[in-house]
This record gives sequence, C-alpha cells and structure tokens, in this order.
Amino acid sequence: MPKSGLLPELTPKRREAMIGYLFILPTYIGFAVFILWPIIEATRISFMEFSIIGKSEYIGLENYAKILTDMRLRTSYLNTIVFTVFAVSFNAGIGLILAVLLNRRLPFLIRNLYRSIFFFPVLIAHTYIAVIWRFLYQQDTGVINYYLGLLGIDAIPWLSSAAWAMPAIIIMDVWKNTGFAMLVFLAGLQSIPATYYEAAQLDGANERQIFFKITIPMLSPTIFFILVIFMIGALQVFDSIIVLTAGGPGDATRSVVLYIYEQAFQKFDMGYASAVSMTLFAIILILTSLQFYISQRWVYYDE
Amino acid sequence: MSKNISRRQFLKYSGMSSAAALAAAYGLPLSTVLAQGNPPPSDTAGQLTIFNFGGEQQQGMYANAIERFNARYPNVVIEDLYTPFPEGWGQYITQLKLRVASGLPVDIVALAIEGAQESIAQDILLPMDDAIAADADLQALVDEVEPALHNALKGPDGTTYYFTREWNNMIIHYNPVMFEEAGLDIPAPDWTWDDFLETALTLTTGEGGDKVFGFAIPYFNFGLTPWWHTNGTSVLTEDWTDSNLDDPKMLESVKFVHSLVHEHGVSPSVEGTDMTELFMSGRSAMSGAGRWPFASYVSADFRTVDIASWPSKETATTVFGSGGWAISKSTENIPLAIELIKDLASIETDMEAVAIGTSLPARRSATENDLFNSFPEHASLFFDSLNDIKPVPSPANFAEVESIFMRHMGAIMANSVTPEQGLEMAHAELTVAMDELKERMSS
Repeated sequence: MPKSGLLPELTPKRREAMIGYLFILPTYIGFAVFILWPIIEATRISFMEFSIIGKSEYIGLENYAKILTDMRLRTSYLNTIVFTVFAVSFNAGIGLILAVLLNRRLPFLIRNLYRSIFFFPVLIAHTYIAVIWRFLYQQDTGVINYYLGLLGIDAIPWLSSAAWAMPAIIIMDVWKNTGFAMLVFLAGLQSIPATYYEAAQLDGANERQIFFKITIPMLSPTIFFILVIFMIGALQVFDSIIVLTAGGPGDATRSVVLYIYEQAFQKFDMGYASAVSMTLFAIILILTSLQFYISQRWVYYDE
Repeated sequence: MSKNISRRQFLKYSGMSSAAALAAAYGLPLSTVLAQGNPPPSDTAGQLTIFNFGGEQQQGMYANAIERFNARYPNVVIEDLYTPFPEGWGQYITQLKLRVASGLPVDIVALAIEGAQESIAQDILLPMDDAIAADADLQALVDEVEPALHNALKGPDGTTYYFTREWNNMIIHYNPVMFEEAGLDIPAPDWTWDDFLETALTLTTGEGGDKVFGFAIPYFNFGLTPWWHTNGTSVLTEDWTDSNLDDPKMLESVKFVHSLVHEHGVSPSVEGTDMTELFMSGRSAMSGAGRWPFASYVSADFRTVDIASWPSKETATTVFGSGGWAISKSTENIPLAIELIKDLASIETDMEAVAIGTSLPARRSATENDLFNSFPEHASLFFDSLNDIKPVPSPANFAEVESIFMRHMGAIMANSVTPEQGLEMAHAELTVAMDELKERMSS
C-alpha cells in the first residue's frame, strides 16, 4: 500500500502509545471538563467578589483573610472532623467484623441473604434514607424512642439536642455505608491465599494470632483503601445532614460543605464559598497524601 | 410620537438579544414597546421559555394553560422548565440567574414573594405598568386580584413586575371531632393566645408513645411568622430593611413558641415533626398551614378538619405569601410573552387551582363555588384573612435572612441557648446581613 505522505510515519511503539492515548482520551476530556476546569474556575473565583449577574471584581486575598476569623467555619470544620473520625472508624470497624463473620463456612443462601441485607442500604440514596430516619428519630413520635420507652429509657432528643444530633447523623451514616465496607473487606478476605492459614495452623497459631498476624496484614491494602475512600467521603458529608438536621440545631451539625452551600446559595457569596472550598480541597489533599505516606509503614503488599 | 410595530418589523428584529435591544432597534423607549397593547397575529411563530416551579399537580395545570395559548398561537413552541417545588428559594433563584447570565432563553419567570425582591433588584424583569395601561386584558389580571396580593409583589418604588398566580396564608387547622370529644367549642374568630393555650392543654392527652398533642407547630419560617405578626412584631422592620429581633415583643413571641414544647408540653419536639402527618393521624388536634395540605387531606379522605383564624395577642392577623408571573428582560418576544401570561394567570387556571387544592387562587371570584366552599366548612376564612394580613418579610436577601433566623431559632428550641441569647446573636448577625444588603443595593 503506498504511503500517503500526509501523516508522519510512526514506529510500532509510538503507534501503540498513540492508540493507548486515544483510549484514555475520553476519560481525560471528562476529567478536564468536569473536574479540572471547575477547580481552576473555583480557584479564580475565590479571589473575587463574584456576582452571577452584574459586575465581579478581584479582591485579592480578602476572602482567605475572612476565613481566618470566621468562627462558624471553625465550628463547621470541627463538626466535620468529629464526623469523619467516628463515621470512618465505625464504618470500617463494623464492616470488618461483618466481613469476618460472613467469611465463615455458611450455607450459600444464608451468606448471600445476609450480604444483601447489609449491602441494601448502600444502594438507596442518602436523601431517602435521611427522610425516613428523620421520622425514626423524632423525639416524641419516633419509633426509636417508642421502643426505648418500652425498655424504660427516657426519650432521647436525637435531632433537637446539640449533644445528640451529631451521634444521630453518625449512626445513620454507619447504617447506610458499613455494607459497602463489609463487601470490600469480604472480597479482600476471600483473596487471601489459604496457604497462609494452613501454614499458621500447622505452626500451632490460635484464632487471635491468625487474625492479627495473618488476616490483618494481608487485608491491610483493603483497609487502607477503605480508610482513604471513606475519609474523603466523610470530609465532604452533605446529603445526610441537610435532610436530617439542616446543620442544626444552631450550627451543631453543620459540615464544611453545608457551610459552603449556605454561603453560595443563601448568601450568594460565591467568592467566599469558593475560597472555603479551596481550603477543604487542600485539607483533603494533605490528609490523603499523609495517609499514603504513613501507609508505607503498615500496608503490606504480598508481591 | 407613537409608532406601531408591524409584524414584519418585529420578526426582522427578533434576533436581538434582549427586549431593550429590540426597543432600541426602533429608536423607541422600552416602555413604548411594552405599551403597544396589540396582541400579535395568531399565525405568529416563535419560541417561549417559562422558568417555572410547583408541585406535580400544578405542572398539569400550567400545561393546560399552555395548551389554551397554543390554541390561539399554534406556531409558538413553549418550553416549560419546571422545577418541582424548590428546596430553598436560594437555589431556584441561583439557577435562574445562571440561566440569564449564560444567555439561555428565559421569557417568563415564575417566582414566589420570597424571591421577588431579589429578582427585581437584579434588574432581570420587565416593568409592566405601561403594558397594563395599554392592554385591557392585562389590566383585568390586576383588577381581579386582591390588592394585598398584587401589591406584595411590586418593586420598592411601586412598579408592577408580577401578575399574581397563587397565594397561601397560615391559618389554624383543627379537628372538630377531637374538639367535640374534649367538650370544647370551636375556636372563636377573636380567640387569643391564652384561649389557644388553654384549648391546647385540654386537647393534650396521654403519655409517651400514646400522647396526643394539642398543637403541632409548623416549624418553618413562614409557619412561625403568624406568632410574630399577631403580637404586632416581625423578624424585620416594617420596611424590611433592618433586623427587628431586638424588639421585646419578638422575645415574648419566641418564648411563647418555646413554651409550647418545653413548658406546657402541648407540642411535640419540632425537629423531625411532620405537622400534616401528625394532624392526619390524630396525634395532634391542631396544626397550622395554608391551603396546601388540603390536597393530601382529600387524597387520604381525611375530612375531619376545619380551619380557624390564628389566635391573636395584640392584633388579629396572620401572614401570607404569593407567587407571580413576570417577563424576563432577556425575552425576544414581548407581545407573545404577554399573551402567554394572560393564559397562565387566567380564571381557568384559577379554577383548576381550586380543584387541585394546594394553593389559593389569585382571584376571590374563583372561590365562589361549591367546590371551594364545601371543604373545609369555613373555607371563606382563607380569603377573609386578606382583610388584615401582612406578607412574609421578603427582602432581596430573603434566603440569608431565613437561614440566620431559623438557625438561631433551632438553637433556642433545642435549649442550646436561651431565647434571650439566641435572639441577641441572631440580631447581631442579621444586622450585619441587612447592612451588607443596603450597601449592595446602593452600589
């Protein structure tokens, strides 16, 4: 076939590389348009007093200076950190326990049934779950307090008390998301070669030793994945809170993302909202990088 | 000098990017364009976009109005951008602003009073006084509506931008059967806060999971406002420019609401409470709402309900909110938009609103029939409340005002702070917000 002369001649290696780039091009276009460009725009807007209609102007670091003195933002960050610590710990911990329990020799149908039961809440949107839990948590007419009353326990002001509102959100979040952790841990457990357990048993190791010396180290990549994913999600918590408590009572459950939403869509201060978004972006980036760095010490990859 | 626009000229310049540019093309002031008063010919072609909101049933109602319009103008394509009832007016208004700012077509805008001043302040709507003066049908849309409803949607300088499409107020919903069983007379038209509390205490029975409450508090900004208005006070000053939370009467009113839950126990804890569900399930003898729950009452065949005036402390009044249709300044089809509004805000639409039952029609005349007056028994109270009523305070920064107040109210109701502390903090924050608004409006 005669060469066209219009295209440069590619070596087989370069042709292969070009084909590879073409395959990943749609993903990169999506990333550039829907993730990278909004980040760049948000960064630009964070230095502005921004108006959707009308004049916007650059105000330098004024928005960032405001962040340093914003006590409500500080409260929002504290709430978010508390939520993240407890939600991630319980989601991962309970998910691991459920996975270990399900990884035993169970009849096929029983295992699948329990796996489905625990995973089902993951499939439902946060908003629907929050609407239902809002009814369950109602202090005077809610189902939870009704059954607590039968046990002789006084009604708990789940959503109407600053002390109980955050635990209420964490409980709901764990109920919804622990199934995902369970499923991932279950897959991780089932990928651990049986030879390790056989060797350990031959050496006389007990259940506890097997769990901490074999299972946990072999599962560490999965644990690391769960901690990273759940931490990133928890730091951006919004759906559960806005339906359940709308950040209240007062600011008791206001998360950073909810605060950003309030600044952007209630106060129409897009510039400040963007600046706060940038701080959250930076914090998530730093924490995730820190996790990757620390993982070198405790995550074991069986190569 | 007046100048009529021919159809050919109109179509020639319809590619202009805004109504103002369209007017400028003729060397005419916009007011003159609006004052043409001649409906376009029936074979006019074009496209109109409506930025709309409401419930599912209302969407069908407006679809019927669009159908009536298309019967007159078959060559006009209507796009109804319908948002199911907005969760927060802030987001709805932002979507509207984004649409306008990005140059996407918006011809007719539907907004409630909560967003009206913001839209007027953003200068995205056409003033309609000249068009009303030149068009008898438009004048009729104004004349047929209660003045309080029409005036509530005007600009600060009295300019008309909106044509009223619906409204709602806050009124007491009560279960007459529960009243009878408790040996109580139905609420008198001039009953007071003290009468209300005494009634609620009598109706509150049982303990724990079996407790029946006297009153389920409508715990949202609009729902709480009658307590302020009946005590001669409000969250904002009369002109909606400053915080009024330092008014001793506001403290008195907030303490009263707080006491319903925490002192007298006649109301359930406000968080997580759906007042309509509690009322329909017989767990509360009274609640507060407008006409909107009646659609649910009818679909659930819940008929043991009647309405009564809001109890008064200083003055017998309540609160109302309304919604309206306006024409966007970015429209390229002013005459067609005017004609479409005539159908959207027509008596036929009002009659459908009566049948649906989620809101009150703009015209009192639409309620002079058995369909409206048969349920509830005292349905006439809805429109009678217009005799002495105040609109919900809705400055241009309504979303922010509501957010600030309800956040501190939440802390008060949760006993995280005392009413005094909560209102003091809210007043400080709201004062800053209103000062920022004044600065924005003056620049």
